[in-house]
Amino acid sequence: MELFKKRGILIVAAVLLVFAFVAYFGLPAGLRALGLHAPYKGQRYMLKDRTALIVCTSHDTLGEGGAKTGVFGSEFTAPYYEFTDGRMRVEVASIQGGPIPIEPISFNWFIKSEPDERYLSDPILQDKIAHSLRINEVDFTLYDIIYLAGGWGAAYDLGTSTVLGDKITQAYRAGKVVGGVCHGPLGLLLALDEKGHPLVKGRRLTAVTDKQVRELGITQTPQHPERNLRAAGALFESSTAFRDMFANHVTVDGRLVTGQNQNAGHEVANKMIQAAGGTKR
Amino acid sequence: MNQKIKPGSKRDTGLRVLSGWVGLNFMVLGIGFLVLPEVFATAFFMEPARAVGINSLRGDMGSLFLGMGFFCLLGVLTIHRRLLMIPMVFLSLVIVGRLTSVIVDDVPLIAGGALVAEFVMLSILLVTLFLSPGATAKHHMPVTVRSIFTRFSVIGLVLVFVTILALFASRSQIGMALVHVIGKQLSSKDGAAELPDGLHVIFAGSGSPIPDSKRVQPCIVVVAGKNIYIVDSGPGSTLRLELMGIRVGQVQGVLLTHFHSDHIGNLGELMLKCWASGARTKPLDVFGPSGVETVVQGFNLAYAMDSQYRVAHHGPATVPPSGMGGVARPFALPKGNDGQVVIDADGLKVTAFLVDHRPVVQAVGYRFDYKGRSLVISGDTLPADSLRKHANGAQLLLHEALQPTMIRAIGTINKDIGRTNVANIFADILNYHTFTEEAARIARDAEVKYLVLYHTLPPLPVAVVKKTFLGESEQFFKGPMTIAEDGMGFCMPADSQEIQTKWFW
Ligand SMILES: [Zn+2]
Ligand SMILES: [Zn+2]
Repeated sequence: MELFKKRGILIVAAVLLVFAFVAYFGLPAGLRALGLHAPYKGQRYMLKDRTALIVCTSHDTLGEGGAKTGVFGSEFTAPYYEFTDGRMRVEVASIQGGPIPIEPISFNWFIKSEPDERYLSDPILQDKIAHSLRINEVDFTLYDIIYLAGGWGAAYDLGTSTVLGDKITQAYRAGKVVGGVCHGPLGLLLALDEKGHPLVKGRRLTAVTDKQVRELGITQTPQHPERNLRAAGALFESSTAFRDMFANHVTVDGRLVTGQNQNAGHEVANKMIQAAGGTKR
Repeated sequence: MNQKIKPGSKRDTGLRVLSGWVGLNFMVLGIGFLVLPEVFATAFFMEPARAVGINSLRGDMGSLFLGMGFFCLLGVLTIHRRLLMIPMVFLSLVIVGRLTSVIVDDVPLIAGGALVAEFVMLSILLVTLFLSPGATAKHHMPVTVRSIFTRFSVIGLVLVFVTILALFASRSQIGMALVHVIGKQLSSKDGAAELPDGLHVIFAGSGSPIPDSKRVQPCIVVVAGKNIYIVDSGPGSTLRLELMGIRVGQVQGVLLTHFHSDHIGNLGELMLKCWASGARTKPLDVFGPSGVETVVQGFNLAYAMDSQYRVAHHGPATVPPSGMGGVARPFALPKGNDGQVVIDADGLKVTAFLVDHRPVVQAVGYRFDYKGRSLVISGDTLPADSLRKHANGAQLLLHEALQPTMIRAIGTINKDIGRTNVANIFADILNYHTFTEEAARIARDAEVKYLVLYHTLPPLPVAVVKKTFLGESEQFFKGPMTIAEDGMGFCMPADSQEIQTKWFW
């Protein structure tokens, strides 16, 4: 009996060990295989010595006294490193300026992506996030690319900021490339094109879908990208998967470049560099 | 069961003689490493990188071979044939090590001959051991001091000892004899002459300004038929050229990609050697984008007094004054991706094209076409459309490469230890060189056959970091890809598709 018990414990321990091993390596790999933060294999572009501005939310809670939120990690890390690897200078701004709240789930061990890892050991970007510029004090026309990061926080303050709307109007009219991913394109809602029409009206774009919002069960935010952008006259397009968080879609309409969700950061950044006159790298 | 051969029979004696010959070989190698460590090391491509390495060569290599020889001879000269197991274990490990190197190190098997020899020796020992007379109880006796010290083995040991002493005593005579042997070898060595008609490239310098024990700063020899051209003249590279046996006196011209110190630093030395060792009567052509006039003028001026001394000393017949120094052959490329043919002679066409090494303007790359073979050298550049265009369909692309993750890591180290200016330089170089994976994508887009990465940043002093250096590159470029090292060459015989790697140093 003694022996049997001992062996039993050993077997249970071995099974647990194997399970832990498979989970530790298998879960992130499995999620990637499904499409979450799938590695970017497409063409990359560069624009030496030119500049990009990443705009993030300053809103840090879901509803009154709700859970902590903010910008989704990979939605600023992936484009930031695509821009810097594309030999650009990058600055980070937010609606209120100062420290940018980051969605706490972003850097979970099975979710965090390669650029997230890079951010976590990069004091330069950490400093830019901790001391972001306030959009009111930034001249958007000095940048070649204006990129709007998403995350649940953006659903609160991007689409309702008249300052952001005006700044994007100025940048777009100055011939700059604008866009973003996930909830970021909400920031385009109040912007106008050269003729004074709403920038998104009649334009092809993508952003996070109502389906993904429902699937993740976070419907209490004041704005939903698909619903609000469609209502503003945008020709909304998207891809779908059995869960939309695994889908990926990027739309380029002239100088307007948008990505469906957190999976699109790399591609949107590269398509923006390309639209701004970048060359292959 | 008893297939063993009889002790003292002809076959037993024959096998013992063969195994004894194996043992003697080891003895010779051991004594060689002990008495002439660097001569023997050179034969095995393992000259010590630093002077004190001679200590390990004498000690470690000497003892390895003497030990193998000692037990081999003991196994043959005594009744203890089992002692042959000891050199056999060593030989097996040597073979395993060499085969590992074939798989792990991206180098051709230079020591292929040694591998075959080791295999033959191992087989001889194996056969001797298995067919040795072992039936009598005597042969199962434990190995004791008494049983080892037979008449034969003592005589053998004494002979070895005396030989070693004699050799040490006659070092001066051996040295003089070597002057003749090595002197003849070095003086008559002509690295380029042994090559078949075709387009060949040899790295005399494959590194960058950051010190790398395997790579001095860029200098690439291009051999097209009988003509030799040198692309860039990085510090340290002229010495390498001479060690590789490149007859610098026969060099037709130098092509500079741009005027960063790591690409021009040895130009004065190179021009002097070309003149003095070749008795040139015309100065050396130095091609380059506009600005090359200043560079050549500067080196001419710096070496003017030296040249006068040499004419005064050796006389104008040996060093004709008309051939000293260099003459600038500038070209100005139009903006855009159109290149310009800068050399068109003896079937060789050299096209210069603009690359992107801002703020260095103009920086160029070169394409060589000769008898159906083509070769492109990137120079220092960011990923450039012009290069993609001119490299299109080339058989061999030599592209500069920087591994950004490694460079950032080293930059951080420098920042952490307070070397801010070095850290800043490491951050800046990311913005005017090509990342390894980008070079792989360029090779893929240009559909080149073979990609060689050079001007490697950071330095790669140990082979194990090569994999790190390549990163994901192999995902993008499926063809053969090599990281250049000094002495490495790529031979492309005329009108064929072959690309062979060859070592010149
Ligand atoms: Zn340079
Ligand atoms: Zn260089």
